[in-house]
Amino acid sequence: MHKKYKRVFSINNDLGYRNYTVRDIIELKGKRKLTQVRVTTPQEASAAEEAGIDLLLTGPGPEFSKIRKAAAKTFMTVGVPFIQNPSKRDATKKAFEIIEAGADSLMCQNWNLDWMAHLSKFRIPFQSHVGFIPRRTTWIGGIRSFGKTAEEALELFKDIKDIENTGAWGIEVELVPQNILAELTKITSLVTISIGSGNAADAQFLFAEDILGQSKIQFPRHAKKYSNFDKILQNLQRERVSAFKEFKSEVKRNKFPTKKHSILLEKKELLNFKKFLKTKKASN
Amino acid sequence: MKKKYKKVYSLAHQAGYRNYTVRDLVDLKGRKKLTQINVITPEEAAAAELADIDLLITGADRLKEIREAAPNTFLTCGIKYTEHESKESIARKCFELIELGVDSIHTNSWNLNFIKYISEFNIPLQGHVGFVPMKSTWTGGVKPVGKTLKEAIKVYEDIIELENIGCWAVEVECIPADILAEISKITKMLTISIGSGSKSDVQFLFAEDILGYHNDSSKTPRHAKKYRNFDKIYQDIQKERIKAFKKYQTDVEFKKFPAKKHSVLADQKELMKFKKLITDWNNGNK
Repeated sequence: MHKKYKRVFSINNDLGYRNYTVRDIIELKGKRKLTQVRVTTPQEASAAEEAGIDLLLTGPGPEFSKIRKAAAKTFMTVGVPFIQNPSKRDATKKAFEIIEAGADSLMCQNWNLDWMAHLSKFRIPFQSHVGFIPRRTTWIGGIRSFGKTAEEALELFKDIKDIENTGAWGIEVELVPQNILAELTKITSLVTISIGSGNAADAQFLFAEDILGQSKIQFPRHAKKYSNFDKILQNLQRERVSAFKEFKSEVKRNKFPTKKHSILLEKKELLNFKKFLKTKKASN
Repeated sequence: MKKKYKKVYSLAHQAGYRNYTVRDLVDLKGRKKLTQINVITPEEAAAAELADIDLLITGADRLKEIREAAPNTFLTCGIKYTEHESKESIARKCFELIELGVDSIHTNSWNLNFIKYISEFNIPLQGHVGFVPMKSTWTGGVKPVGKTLKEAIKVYEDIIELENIGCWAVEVECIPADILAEISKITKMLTISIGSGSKSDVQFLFAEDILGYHNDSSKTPRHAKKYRNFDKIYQDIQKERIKAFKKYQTDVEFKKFPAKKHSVLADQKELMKFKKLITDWNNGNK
């Protein structure tokens, strides 16, 4: 299936092409299953665009503008870390900065609900996060799934309703039982994005490093490796080492540089220079 | 030959291990040919240390990661002259880099007075003469320097000036091999050749030239040698990324992922209870 890009104005008023507008994504709820991938490098971003991944998520770091350029036509959401933005005003300012750099949507993970509602007043598209939220795990007793009991599931439901009321378009749902998310997906207007919460969501989310098999931490149970980049990158590093060793050994054995790598001088000029050095030495 | 690292204090007074001190390098002049590589990523730095490259040089951008990746190799860091309008500013930058663990500073294109000033702190400095890219408008563009007597004398004078200031080494770029051979004999500094033939104390290349990859449109310079074809290798790796993402996309589309083993389930009893709670909640909200 070849993806058709549509002509759009981005939220910073740049004319360009995208696979989806936020309206398209909302209208696809219940009709078509989408994919989202979290990328951290321009290489991952351009590979994801070429593979036809529907949605991308990334961070606001110095790499962001390169990532945006590498996947210029894919709907891209960018996280705005609340902890570096200690007021509604700071968070809004940071959001504007990211929008100027080309984001289509923001990820308001861990945000104060009031700040999200404020962002909505500017009609800025954003998604949020419920269930297992890494930074909030101390409240649920550590790294575990959330929503296995009816009471916890109700709590999730209320969280989702609260976020729905702020004006979000989507919600990442992490480590929630599949059958609970199936129910939640039916009753919320938000586009649900599952990570470790089964296959009944509107969108499926994974980290690029898990898909590629280059996780730095222990591989999560809910992820799937589609390649073995750990191995590929190790081999690449071995190539680097062996190339540098060859260079060193050639220098040592006087095999590099050779004449063709050097600049030659006319005999006459060399003699002149030697004469000059001799007079210098004599005058010292 | 297994390299033995020696215990040292860095310029920032941190105890650690290095392959050489400045004194070792100065003592090796004329005895052992050394290698230097310009690295821009931690991966290149780590690979260079594993390959026993003698000296590394890098920019300030990713210095911290690069130092961590190659903690035991003598590391020089360049400072761009355009970012420092005074000798005080450049000194502050030097101190910052020293705190990050550099062993020497590269004074590419600096004002000589600034070099003198930094030298007063006994900070080991490496200079740059011959073809200096940022100053090449003075030597007529991208071309060798020192083919005429007048130019060769200028290179000689530049070197003597750096020596008098107290630099321990000088990068000599794109001058005739014979001229560098003569100069290497008479200067106390270590000469570091790039494109200036094989008669120097140190041979220098860029990691990207050795590995054969280029950002932007620059090509392998005539004086460099490509030992691998990383452009091609990176293309293959990118193809592998695309393939992996496509498999994921197809798996999701055809409901092959996530499977049961990637998911958790709530007990049927809890699910029913939850549905009832939602119904109650909805009724309560009407």
